[in-house]
Amino acid sequence: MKKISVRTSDGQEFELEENLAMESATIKTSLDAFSRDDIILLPNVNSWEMVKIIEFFTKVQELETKFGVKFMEKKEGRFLEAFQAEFDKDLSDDNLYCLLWTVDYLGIEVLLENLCHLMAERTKNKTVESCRNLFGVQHDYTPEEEAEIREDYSWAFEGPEIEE
Amino acid sequence: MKTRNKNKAKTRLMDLPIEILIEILKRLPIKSVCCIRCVSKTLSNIVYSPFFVDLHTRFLIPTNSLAGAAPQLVLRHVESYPGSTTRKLTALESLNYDESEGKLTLSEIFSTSQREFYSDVAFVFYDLICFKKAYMDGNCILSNPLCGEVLRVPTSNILYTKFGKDITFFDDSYGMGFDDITSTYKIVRISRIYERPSYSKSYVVAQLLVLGTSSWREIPVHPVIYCAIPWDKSVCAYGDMHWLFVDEGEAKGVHIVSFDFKKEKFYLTPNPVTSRMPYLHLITLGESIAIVDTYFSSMKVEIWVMKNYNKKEWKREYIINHHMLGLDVDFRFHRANCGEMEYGMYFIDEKGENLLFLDLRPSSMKCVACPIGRKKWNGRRRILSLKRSLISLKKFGDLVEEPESGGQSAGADLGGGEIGQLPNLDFFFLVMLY
Repeated sequence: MKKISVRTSDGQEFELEENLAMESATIKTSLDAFSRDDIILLPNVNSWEMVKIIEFFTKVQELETKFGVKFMEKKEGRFLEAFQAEFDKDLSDDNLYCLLWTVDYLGIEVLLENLCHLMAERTKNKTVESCRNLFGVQHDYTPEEEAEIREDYSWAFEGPEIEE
Repeated sequence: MKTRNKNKAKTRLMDLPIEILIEILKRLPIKSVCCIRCVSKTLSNIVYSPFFVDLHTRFLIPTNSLAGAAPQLVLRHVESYPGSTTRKLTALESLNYDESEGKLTLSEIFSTSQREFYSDVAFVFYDLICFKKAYMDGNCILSNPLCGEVLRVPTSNILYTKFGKDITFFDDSYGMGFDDITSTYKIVRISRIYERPSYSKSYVVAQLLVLGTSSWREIPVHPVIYCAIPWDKSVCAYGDMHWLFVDEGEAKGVHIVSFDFKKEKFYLTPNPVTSRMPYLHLITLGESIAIVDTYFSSMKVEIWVMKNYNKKEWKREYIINHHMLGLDVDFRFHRANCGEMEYGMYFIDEKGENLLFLDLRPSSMKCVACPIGRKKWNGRRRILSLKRSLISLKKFGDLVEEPESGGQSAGADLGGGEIGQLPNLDFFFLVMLY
């Protein structure tokens, strides 16, 4: 299996197997345009992000061997429940956010879906104020307007909420 | 493409490309989507737009993820109106059970008295309830009692065209589902009719309507349906609908008839249980459907859950012996109605006086009996289990409006096409003859 070399923004080099590298639409486009022997430069990707991405690919391959299913082709979301719990542990919100940008830039669809899922999980039980921090928005409702919405959807605000 | 501050900006999801933001938001459960509306006006506009609601529903219904949320229980009362043979008093209350305090709270959603109009519940589709007319001339209405919307479903001429006006309806079943390919909601109707005056022959006809359009079209009937009668209301899962049908003849076999709204076809789902009606109940449970077998002489309740929806594989997940429940009321399961509630199931006895909550979580399996008590209304009671959705009936047509005269006794004239939206739930005009 041919290996493709990539260089991240901080000058570190990584090797990816060709079929995995091709999962990234951006890398694939570069490979099609240039020779496979050249190193592909990824100025928008940090090395820690690359490490995470390679971790994802490795885990997927493990699961595929274990369950005997071509995950990448089937896009089985449920499949990765076990994996997501692991992936989620040491990723801060900020890191997850950066990774979202990078994976979008690289065009790795399957990983992007999973990251969106992770982010959605984190948004789920947060209080409205915490969400404002997470989304980075200003509080633009008047107290009356906010009270009205809370009244209309009172059932949605029941239950435990996580503070930031 | 938005520029990104590489030197570690704080998480600002709003800076993400809109496509990614939507990918994240569409994976949120309904409850969270509603909370998001409170976060900022921009976010509110995004999640409130019909485009987003569509995307959200398209994602959640086929994966049955909407089903994961806790259902809202609603208690329906029907009783005779004093001094009248045709009027009924109807009330709908939302029912909330506080586990920690063991308390049952009921709060009125609406109450009204009306001449007979719409009777039985035809189906519950998330938070929409479909009511059909008592004398089954083929009319039904779709309502969202939790937000007060009522939609009149277009009537069909197919049966009259096929058989003339001299027909009597024996059975009329309805189901609703979502086709995520065309992103449309559809209603299926199965009618059994007899031709007057001979009543010698019965016909079964199935029809389909795409909500938002006005014409029904006939579709092929599954052979099983010709000689079987539907039992109770249908149940939805993964965008499909499922009914229990009982054979008419001696055999009395029970079939699970399902409808695929994408292919617009009926199919049979294997039935794992051999008990006869009326001890069987088909319900939603968690992210799938379940069959509850309350065959009384076995003194236990068995619950079969469909573990693999694609392969239609069942597993007998729970066997509950009556005496294990530690109940001090003699609860007659075989005469009870049941359905899903948060973390498990509810049973309501025949008279509607006692409620049983069965918590099915492995770590905390228990059963709690709760008398409903004689409150305002003393008529027959039934519980419906609703799951919140973002579906708005407005997009399917004009909603029924409270008439100018107002008041509870005026009621709705469902003659021509009324338009608007129900401002006041007291005016929920249906009457249910249980």
